Amino acid sequence: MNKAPSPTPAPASASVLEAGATDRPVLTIRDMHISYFARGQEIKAVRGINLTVNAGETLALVGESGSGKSSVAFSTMRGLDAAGRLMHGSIHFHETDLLSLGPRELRSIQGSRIAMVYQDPQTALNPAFRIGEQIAEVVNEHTAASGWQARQRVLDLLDEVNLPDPAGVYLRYPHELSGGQQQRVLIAMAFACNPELLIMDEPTTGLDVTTEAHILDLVAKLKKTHGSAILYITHNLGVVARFCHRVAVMYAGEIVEEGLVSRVFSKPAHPYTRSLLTCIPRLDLSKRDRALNAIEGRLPNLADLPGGCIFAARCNERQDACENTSVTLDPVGDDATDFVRCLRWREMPEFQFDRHTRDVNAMHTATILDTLLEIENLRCYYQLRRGIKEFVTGGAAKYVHAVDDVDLVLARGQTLAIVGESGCGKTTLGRTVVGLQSATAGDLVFEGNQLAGIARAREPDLRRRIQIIFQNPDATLNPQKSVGETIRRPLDLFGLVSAAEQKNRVAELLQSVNLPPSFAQRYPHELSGGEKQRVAIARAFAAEPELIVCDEPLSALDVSVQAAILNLLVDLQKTSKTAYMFISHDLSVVRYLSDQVAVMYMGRLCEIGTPEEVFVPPYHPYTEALLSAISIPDPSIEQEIVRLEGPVPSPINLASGCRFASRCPRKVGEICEREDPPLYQFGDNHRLYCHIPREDLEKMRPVIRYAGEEMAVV
Amino acid sequence: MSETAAVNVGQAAASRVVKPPRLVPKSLIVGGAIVGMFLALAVIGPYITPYPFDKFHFGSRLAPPSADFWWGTDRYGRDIFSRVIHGTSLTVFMAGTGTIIGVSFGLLIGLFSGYVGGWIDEILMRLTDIAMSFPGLLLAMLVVAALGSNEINAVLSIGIVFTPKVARVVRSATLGLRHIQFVEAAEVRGETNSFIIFREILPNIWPPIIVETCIRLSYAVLLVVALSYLGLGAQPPAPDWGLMIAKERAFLVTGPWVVLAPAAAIVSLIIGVNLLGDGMREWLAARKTADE
Repeated sequence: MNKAPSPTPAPASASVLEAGATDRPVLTIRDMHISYFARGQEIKAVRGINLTVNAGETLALVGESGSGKSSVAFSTMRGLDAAGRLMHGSIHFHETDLLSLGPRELRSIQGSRIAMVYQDPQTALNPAFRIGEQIAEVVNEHTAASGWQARQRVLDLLDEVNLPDPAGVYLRYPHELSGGQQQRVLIAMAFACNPELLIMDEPTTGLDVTTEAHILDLVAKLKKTHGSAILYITHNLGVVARFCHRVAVMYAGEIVEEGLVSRVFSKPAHPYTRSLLTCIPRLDLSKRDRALNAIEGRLPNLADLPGGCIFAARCNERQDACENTSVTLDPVGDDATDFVRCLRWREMPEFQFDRHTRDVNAMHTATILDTLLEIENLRCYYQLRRGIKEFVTGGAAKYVHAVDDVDLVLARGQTLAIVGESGCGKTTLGRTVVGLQSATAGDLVFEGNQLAGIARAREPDLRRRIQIIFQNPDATLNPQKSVGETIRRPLDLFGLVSAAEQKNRVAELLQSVNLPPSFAQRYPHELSGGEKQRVAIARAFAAEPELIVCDEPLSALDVSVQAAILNLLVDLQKTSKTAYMFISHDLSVVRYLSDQVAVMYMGRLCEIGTPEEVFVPPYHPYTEALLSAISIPDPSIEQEIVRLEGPVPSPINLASGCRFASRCPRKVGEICEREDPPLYQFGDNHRLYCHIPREDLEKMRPVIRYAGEEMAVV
Repeated sequence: MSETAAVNVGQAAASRVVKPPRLVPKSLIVGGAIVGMFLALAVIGPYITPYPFDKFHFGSRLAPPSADFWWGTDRYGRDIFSRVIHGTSLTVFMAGTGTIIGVSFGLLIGLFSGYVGGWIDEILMRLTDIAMSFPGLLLAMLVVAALGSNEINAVLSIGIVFTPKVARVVRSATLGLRHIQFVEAAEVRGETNSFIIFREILPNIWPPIIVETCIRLSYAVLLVVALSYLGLGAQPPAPDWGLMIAKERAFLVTGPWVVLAPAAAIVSLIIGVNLLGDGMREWLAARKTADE
């Protein structure tokens, strides 16, 4: 009885699969059309999609928001919401027609032979049940195992997804796990019955890069051991390059290009794919080199489709024929694996990633000529509510150390980027600078003026000179105010222009963010995400500030829109000499935009310097791990693999010592936990806090290199 | 096999006529019509009644409904129809004013408490808790008993009963916007509290306020009627519905119309207001999802 029985009833059609792709289709979608109905309009979200996922292969379905990629996934699981309808098409799982199945038959396939991993693990797990119970339910439902066998199976699964202490996790509730751990639990659940097909809908989107890297490693490993076919839905081409076989690129409801990852990433045929690959900077591009290749314009109206190529309106290679000839999928190469939907793909020049190699010694070292803002020993602690236990025992109040003793200097007209994972205190730092919360200790000195804690307590003119741009474009504008009112308000409040001039100034500001002046009459719900963010930028610039805190202004936008906004921020900085404090978790964006980078971990600075200094050795071990975790969609670049193990420490009542010690792959010894790390100074402004001896730091290898070279990509 | 399945799906979908979503819910139309009719009666009622509400017809006391007296007469021979129509303006006015008072004060307290937060919020909310721990009718009776029985005090008492309840609803809606980015953007600009409360937050919380107002209105009608019935609202000879039921209830067996007519008026007004509130909620929710 010691031997656990095989938990999965082997389906007749699928014998044990070899690792690697086959040509036996697991999922076949033919001519799928999906429409949504709203306000009496038919929105044709998906039109004529054909997809085949073969046993053992990973097919990536890539697209931006509104491309219809998630609709394809949900309709495959027969889970479209009430407004959506599968208008036409067939979906086969092996030989079974999924559309002809009744609910009972469908459910017996779903969960055991087809599994799905959703984007948001918090809503996918039931908060009222223990982790182990939730996985055991799947095991009980779909396999012969029950009782202690099921429990043993669950423990094996938890171990397989690298969760520490499986027996402990079994008994915990979802809220007791971090986001990355919750996603591991969902993956364990999905693999519980050795599914033949796994559908993953943006499984790493809400996670930090270091966690994302772990999850992707894990999925790649499980794919090898279980041989499942995976339909991987994402907007991130870097992730696709990492572990998918084939990729289908969707735009506005159509597949515009499909093929092997090796081909699509080296010789992309469709202009949209090409733009996606180049619109976000890799680590070798700075704002001083050139502007980014943005995709201008917005998605076509899917209720009123243009004739001809769906991408024509935004395409740089557009010709008249594109707008009135309907375009079909054209085979690329001879293998009938690759297709592209473009009239002109044969005529376009060979695709090449542009490559910037620079002389490391002649690289930009920012010298701070003109200090704008000094942050001195800043601390922001949040007091936790005293629980009943503390109340009864009289225990001391607990504090979350969000920002703990940070010193920074910001130069006029330059960009200081603050990077780090969620919870590192970067947002708190930004909010303190603009006066949305006050510091516990320390000083903010703005051009010699001591800043009061809360914005309202500051002098109006100091207030005017520091503005903010927020992350979420949908919440940043008051839905009840027109764009004109929104931009006019700072003009009015700070008395910047006379009442008669206001209208012109609003038009001017709209033009400066590349929006037509007629937008002044529009309301936020009539704007796309990128347009809302442009209005928010115009509102910030209306006050004629000297410093703008940009709190992740790009992270909610599609990549094609991100590039346009980045270009805009660079242009505006050039003309207005406004300094940015740019808060971000995206290292390539930071590399492009910043003059100074500060890496933060658990409220402390790890490393600070110019991007050219921070992104090449010597690194702080945390910077090294961050660089290793980012996904770069370019096969000619290779990355050192550094993964962070170990628990994230609690940010409550932190003692001395290096905050990163518990996860550091290069930990020196117990000195790391005992003493605060010393400061190393490299060059003029490159500061690094670490216990590793200077010689060892200098011997570090670059994490990101061009394949076959030793030089860092920077 | 698969081909036919695919075609079937297509045909089934194509043959289904896609109805545009109903923009205005039926309950809103019906409720609006009923409430509109009562409002119209409240204004023009006194001019269209066949008799003055207080005219005695001694020859036909407690007369059953007839061509002369459509809904019969009461014990003094007063025309019930005329009295009910006349009473509309009184009930609608008292319920409406009471609701407006309650919603206005509740709105101010809720907005302020929710936005400012801290110990001010704590004190205000504990006070509303105390006020809400009394049953509505009991609190209203206490207020009227203390201030004296008349229409004005009845209206005031309704306002006092409603204020904490509305404040709660408004406060929770305000809390939802307290840390939203456009409010924080206003704080960074250094806008005053009143600008943020009235210009940034208030325009975005009208939907729950409108729905709450409709719900309050139907309770207000009930309260008005209950207070008058207990003799704590309008005084005789006012043709108030609650008062009519109270004074004539002894004749319920011999002349049921004396009670049934005002009761029917009360019921239809309350049904109308409730339908209006439900319809409003549905409509506002549908508009919100359509915008998204």
